[in-house]
Amino acid sequence: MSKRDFFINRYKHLGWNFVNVRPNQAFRINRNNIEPEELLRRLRKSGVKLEQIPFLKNGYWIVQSKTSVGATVEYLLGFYSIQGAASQIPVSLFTKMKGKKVLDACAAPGGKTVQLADLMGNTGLIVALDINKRRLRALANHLERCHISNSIVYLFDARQSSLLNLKFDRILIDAPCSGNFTMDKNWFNRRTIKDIKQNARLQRELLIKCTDCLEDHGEIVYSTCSLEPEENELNMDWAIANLNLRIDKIECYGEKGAISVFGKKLNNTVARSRRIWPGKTQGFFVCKLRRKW
Amino acid sequence: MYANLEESGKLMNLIKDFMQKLGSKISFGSENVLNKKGKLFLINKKLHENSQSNFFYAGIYLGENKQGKFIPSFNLLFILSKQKTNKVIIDKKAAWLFIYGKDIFRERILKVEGDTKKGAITLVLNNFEDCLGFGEIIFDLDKKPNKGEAVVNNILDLGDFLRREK
Repeated sequence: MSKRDFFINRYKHLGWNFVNVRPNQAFRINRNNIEPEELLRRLRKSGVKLEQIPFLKNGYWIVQSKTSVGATVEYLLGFYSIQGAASQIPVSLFTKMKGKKVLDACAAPGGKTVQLADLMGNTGLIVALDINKRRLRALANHLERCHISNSIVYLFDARQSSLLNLKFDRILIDAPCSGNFTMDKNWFNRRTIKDIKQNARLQRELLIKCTDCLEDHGEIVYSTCSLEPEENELNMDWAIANLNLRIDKIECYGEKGAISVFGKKLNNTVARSRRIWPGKTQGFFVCKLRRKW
Repeated sequence: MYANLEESGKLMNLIKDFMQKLGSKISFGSENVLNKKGKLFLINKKLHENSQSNFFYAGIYLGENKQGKFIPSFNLLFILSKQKTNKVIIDKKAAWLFIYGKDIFRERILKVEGDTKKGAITLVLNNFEDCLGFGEIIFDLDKKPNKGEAVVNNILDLGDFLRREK
């Protein structure tokens, strides 16, 4: 069996028949910087055709554009951020963000950090961490372009976040992951179960250390762009068994998380997570967690 | 939080000089401005209370000292554009060219505020009054230049965000 067939077969077991897709380009309006109607009017006047993403408040698909939407005056002014539809979902799951203390554990290149700041109305505090200096520069540019004023960025491994001596009301763990085939033509050839399991271990370490920094009534959103259950449902099953966490119900795009994975039965509440198979969006997984009381 | 008070004092003077050249009268309290390796950041109380000195970026980035010359951030230019400063407001075509690094011709200027004399620096705004960058006036704006002669020299424009990533 080829490596490609091996993975495709796994997806079939999880209930999805493989199709090769090219997700649509999408953007998200930074409402702190412009009224949506004003931005849409300006972009339409410049020949950009848009379609509102039905499951997102500020997200639009770019249907057609004469010029690159990553080089317009409106983009450079921080009125919107290019951000895939599925990757806009994790931050949208947090509640009551104004004035909160937020940890963005794996922040670069900053699309979700800017989204957090936008939801917070630039109030409160975001601590954004990443271990890659080059990517942190991209994050800093993104923050400057979008006029973000409530963030502190550190070159720092989130597994050491207890050294910050802070407790957070909201924690985003958009974990480093194996990615998926929609972002990398060679994905099937490059990936092995071994490195997927290695990523899963790293993700568990992140979950342990970030949970230590969570305020008692805080919220964690965990997400990956991996389709592999080891990095998703199996990690969530492990987290609720070992970290005194529970999974919150969420209302968002996507299918219920799998609770039967290759013969292994998982906690029923793992079904509250969402698995987004590639299609109009790229592949994604999201889950919202809190402490058990 | 200052790594070096003397250096930070010099930096504060650089930013002050820059703002004065633009005709701005606003100032930032030095207690709210952090210096990180020649880069200045404006932070509020909440950030101050929760930050450590080893940060990479914090609050509002104001600009940096590059070999004794102050390079403003777009955040600073944006703040200044909401105040009384030197400004030229240009039409759509000139705005497009400006963000690609081009200079400005007199016939493309819709409105001028503040200093109009050669040698002054001025913010450059589009017809929505969004700040696109800044430049130096190289020909008195109240006089008629020769045809095809630029009157404002582009010093920094928003296209810098794209050039930085390359």
